[in-house]
Amino acid sequence: MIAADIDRDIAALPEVMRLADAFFDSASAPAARYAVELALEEIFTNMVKYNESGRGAIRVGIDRREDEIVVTLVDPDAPRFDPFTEAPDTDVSASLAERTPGGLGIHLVRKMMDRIEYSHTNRTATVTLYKRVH
Amino acid sequence: MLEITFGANDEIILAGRFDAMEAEKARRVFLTLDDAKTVDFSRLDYISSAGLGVLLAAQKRLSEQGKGLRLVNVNGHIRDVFHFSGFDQVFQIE
Repeated sequence: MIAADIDRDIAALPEVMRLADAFFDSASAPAARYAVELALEEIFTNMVKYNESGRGAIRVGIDRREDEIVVTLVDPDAPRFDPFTEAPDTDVSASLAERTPGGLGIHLVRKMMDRIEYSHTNRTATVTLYKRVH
Repeated sequence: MLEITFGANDEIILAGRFDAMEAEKARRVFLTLDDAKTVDFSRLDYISSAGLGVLLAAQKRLSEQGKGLRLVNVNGHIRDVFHFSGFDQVFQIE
């Protein structure tokens, strides 16, 4: 398990990626790396962007459990909002003129990870993402 | 880090990571384009939705003048991201 508290700031994104570097340096799972990095970025930046006034750092963890990589992001001071079920999915078949970038990050995470869980208790929002290692 | 340079044929060459940290820098380059352009992805390792958003904005702007971006040497992972996004339908990818 690799984990760290990361400042609620887009400028802290390289620190999130350093966690991924540390994890993949010792995990033999190169095929899962792109999906895990993308999921970390999209969920971390979402938590920062949509909850700027939240207090405390965001806890980011990456773990290997048997044949899965488990990514967790915990915001200790967030209103309840599950982006995977409460935000409208982006329409990937819309014409160029109708396309907007909104919702694309969550859409990609849904496509690239195998399983997603959201929980919210006592203002703490936890997103857990699973990627199978083949 | 994302490196943006111009090649011998005036193509844009992207190298590194096109993520949320780097999107603003890229936006300044892509949103000043006023002509069709080739973008060489051969040295690009990674793109997230932030990078896709910049490319989408440029493509929309160019398409109003009947022009567009042509993306070349796109690696397998990034090709998947374009496919999952439906962006393979709105960009010319070779």
